[in-house]
Amino acid sequence: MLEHLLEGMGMVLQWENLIWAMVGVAFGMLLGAIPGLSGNIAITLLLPFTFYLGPIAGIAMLMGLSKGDGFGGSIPAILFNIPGTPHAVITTFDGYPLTRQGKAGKALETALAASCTADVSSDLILIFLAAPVAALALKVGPPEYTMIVFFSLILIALAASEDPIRGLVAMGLGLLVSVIGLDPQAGSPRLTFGIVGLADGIPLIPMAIGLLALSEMFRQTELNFARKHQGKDVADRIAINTGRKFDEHLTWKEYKQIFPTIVRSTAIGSVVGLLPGIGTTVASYLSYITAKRRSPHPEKFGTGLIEGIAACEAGNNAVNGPNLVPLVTLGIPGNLAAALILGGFMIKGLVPGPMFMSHQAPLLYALFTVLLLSNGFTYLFGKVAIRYAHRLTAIQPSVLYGSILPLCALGCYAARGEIFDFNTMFISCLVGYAFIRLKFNLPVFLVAFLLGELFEHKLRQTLILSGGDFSIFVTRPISCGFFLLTVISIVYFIWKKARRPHSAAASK
Amino acid sequence: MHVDRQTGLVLLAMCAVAWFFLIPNYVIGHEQQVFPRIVLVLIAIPSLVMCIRTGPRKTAEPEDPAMARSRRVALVKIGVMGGAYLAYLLLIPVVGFFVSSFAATVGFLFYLDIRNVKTLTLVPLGLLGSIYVVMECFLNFNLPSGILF
Repeated sequence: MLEHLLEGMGMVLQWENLIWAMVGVAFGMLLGAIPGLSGNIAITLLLPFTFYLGPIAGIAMLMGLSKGDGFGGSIPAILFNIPGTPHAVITTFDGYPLTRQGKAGKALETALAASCTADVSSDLILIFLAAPVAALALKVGPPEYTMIVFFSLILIALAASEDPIRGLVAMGLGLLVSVIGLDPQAGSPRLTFGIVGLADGIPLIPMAIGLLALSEMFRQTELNFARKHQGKDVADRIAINTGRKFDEHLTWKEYKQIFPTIVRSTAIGSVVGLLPGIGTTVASYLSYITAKRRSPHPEKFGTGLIEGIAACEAGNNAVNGPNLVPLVTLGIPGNLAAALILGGFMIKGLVPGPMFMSHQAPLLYALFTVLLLSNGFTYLFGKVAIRYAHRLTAIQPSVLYGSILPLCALGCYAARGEIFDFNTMFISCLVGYAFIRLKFNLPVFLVAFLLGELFEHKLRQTLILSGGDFSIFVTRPISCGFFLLTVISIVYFIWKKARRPHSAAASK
Repeated sequence: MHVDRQTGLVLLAMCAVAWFFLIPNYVIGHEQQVFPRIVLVLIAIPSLVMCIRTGPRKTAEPEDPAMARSRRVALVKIGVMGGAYLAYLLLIPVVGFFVSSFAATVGFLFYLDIRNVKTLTLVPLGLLGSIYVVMECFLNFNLPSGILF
């Protein structure tokens, strides 16, 4: 392997390959930072250009795109509470509160440091464990998948909400909305009420923009109107600049403090990344919840903790490397980005699979080297982006809210180019506003919506396997283990919630 | 009635409507109805808990009339803004993205008490100019055009 690695490194170190990898990172970061335009759109846009490039340069650019997108998505999430990418939803929990405290620079630097550290680690995992781990991942069948996804959903609903019952309701509603659209197997319409625009289901980006950005913006504006009417001062900045250099940067001491969180989240993200289809959002959420549960001050999560940002950013970026394991060893793309990269391989006449590792080993290791180098480019471009991006928070809120309104319309339209999506965005905004008022957890709803399709797909596969018998979940050891974990989690969280008023009274 | 109980009852009613009316009429096939029904059960159980659990009894504090009035005024103002935003979205396919967005941004900024003419003109121009360069020139992505632009 070492011989192939050295040969691969020799192939990569040519200016053409490095420049295209840099172009990929910069473009991915830029598009990731624009809500509605994800890394997948960036890869799709640049895929045709790979025709004109060599195999390493072409695929290096595509891989660089997905790297840059990972950090780019966190920029609007931290600065404006608008997630640029689905996985950046979790980054908003602690990123935006930090911005409101005037620490946008620190929040962005934490996201960058966690992203790059996790990315390097996950790439090393890809390089050294590609073949053996891929064989293990094959043993996870539909029943295990179903229970892993169900367990993740329940854990997310219980741990992320102040009130576990409201969390479970939000989860159920998210799953229900994911049902709308064509049936994945029969192709018949479900709950579309004859509306053609709903045939593909509720589009994610318009819904996320409506639920998170628009509803929050209307809510903040309402609070400002009320304060003005009472004659109180209204903040003239999104964040008050504290003027302290300490608040602008992530210090070495802070990095050492969050390092265990990054390592733990990288491990979670890497395991999730090995399982095709689960994706960055679950990794991000699981990492966040684990960090919260292990923290000595869990109540501070969601109020602007750098550990919260580090956990979710490390978790989602750690998925990237291991996610390519099934692609390069078995030819199975782990997510949409990997599927598009597979398209890039095919354009160059390369077919990933078991034979690819033995026949094209130097080329494969050359690509692995590109992945590692791309992390360095992400760090450099990220530092430049942070320097200028966080100054945007000094804008007067009224100016910002007025400008965000057309940006939301732009992001909504850019995702699919459908006028119909404006309706989705507006209705989602109303739903989001109601959720805020009734204290339901919006991110839980959104994550459940994202995982709904995968959950249903695996559940139905399992039921076909068992002939409709639900006992299959308890007769297989791994799925039974996850089932028990789910039950224990529900009991534990509800017991904890029920106990809280008593313990509070006792402490008084 | 307690907010939790009201919410729980509404959710339970929604589940009942979906179970007995929406799913049988709008989801074709018995097998296809299994997953939506499982999801309804997942919603109904916590909704039922919301209905029957007794939340901590809070002594109702009389609200300051001035505060209540401010809240009502803010709600009306935000309702107007929401209606204006809906009108803006409906106008995009008719008059085009750039013209409607320019008018809407100026309007929203004015409504949000921005009175500086420089800000009122330069912010929409800068924002929409950047969008034009990135989307139309760089990415070759056509935004909706209408009768004007």
